[in-house]
Amino acid sequence: MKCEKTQSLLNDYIDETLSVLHAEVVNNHCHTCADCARQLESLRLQKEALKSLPVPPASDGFEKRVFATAAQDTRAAQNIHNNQGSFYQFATAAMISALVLWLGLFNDTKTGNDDLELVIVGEEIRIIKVAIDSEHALDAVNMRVELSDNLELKGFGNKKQIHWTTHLRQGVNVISLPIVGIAQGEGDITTRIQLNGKEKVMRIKTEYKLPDSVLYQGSRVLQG
Amino acid sequence: MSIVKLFKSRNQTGDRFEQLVSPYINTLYSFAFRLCQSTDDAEELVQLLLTRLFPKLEELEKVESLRPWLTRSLYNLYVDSYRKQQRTLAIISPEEMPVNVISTDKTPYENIELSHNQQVITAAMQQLNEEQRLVMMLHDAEGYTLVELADILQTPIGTLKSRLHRGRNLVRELTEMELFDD
Repeated sequence: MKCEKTQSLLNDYIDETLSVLHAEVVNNHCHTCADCARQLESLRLQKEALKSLPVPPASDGFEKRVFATAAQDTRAAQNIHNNQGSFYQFATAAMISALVLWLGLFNDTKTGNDDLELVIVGEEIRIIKVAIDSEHALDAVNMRVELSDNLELKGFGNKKQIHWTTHLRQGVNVISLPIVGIAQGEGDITTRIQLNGKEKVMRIKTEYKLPDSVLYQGSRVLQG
Repeated sequence: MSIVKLFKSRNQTGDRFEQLVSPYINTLYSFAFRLCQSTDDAEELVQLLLTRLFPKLEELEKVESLRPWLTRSLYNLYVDSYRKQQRTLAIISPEEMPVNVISTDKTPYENIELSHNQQVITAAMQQLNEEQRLVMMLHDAEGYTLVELADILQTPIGTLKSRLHRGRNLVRELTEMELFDD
């Protein structure tokens, strides 16, 4: 068998999906051809390394939290559908804060002030996920994110107001905002969604502190 | 319905849901991590799936083979919500919303120890397109067969096999001189 043909069978060989006859031919060829043998060994090492590639563990209490949140969110969603236009919040992973906003028909103008308080400690990046569950696809929606002076959005330097125009598709739209603290003290993150002169606002209070194990644990409790 | 009965009924629903899905949580989390390459996003994706499924408990209880059903649902959710959203964010307004707004500059494996070969290969896999990387991760790392993946990803086996082989060969070309027996 020629090298080209052998090399085209190496993947099937390491997956053990070749017929006995073909496997033997590949095996015999690799015993006499250093180049093909090297390629075979390389593929074998590659597959072996991936086979044992670990998955980093989920955060503490993930399983318990994920079930509790599913139940809690379902109830909250039911409440929201009974009272459209309100806001609600939920927290998921320890390092992620998520807000969910139901846009409905966008036929009301409301400003909500959520109670979620985000504690940022030291140099960590806190990812705020704003989930917008829109009943309809919406074009030309203005999104604005405003940060207090002691916060930064990673990648945007000193910019405290970021705005852009986008479309929202029907269903869940998620924006990830990696927030870093730059000066101690209280602050806030405001997300505004504007359409046809109407606006919905979500506000998260923040507190940026220096590393302190007790406070850090407190922030986790807040998220849990 | 009295408040006590309502409370009990809610708890029973929660218990039934947890009992049904709990055996697959680790599978779902691993699968989500292979898709998202981020522990935070993997947790978020699983959370989103469970939140969507919770109100559909009765339908869920009728599913005969839950593991492939759940992984397929997770993948569909990844495609519908997560991946599309990531793309949308990247193209919303390049001057205002750079791509790095959705990245925290973290490597997915920064907190765990990898062998030399694993480090070399995971770095090389960043050069693959997403389709190749996905099938390599799910087949070689997660252990799904091509038949299972064809069902989960709703893609013909031949296409998956081609992506797998091309991905591996590309990684081999990129890493050949750096791999050795650990």
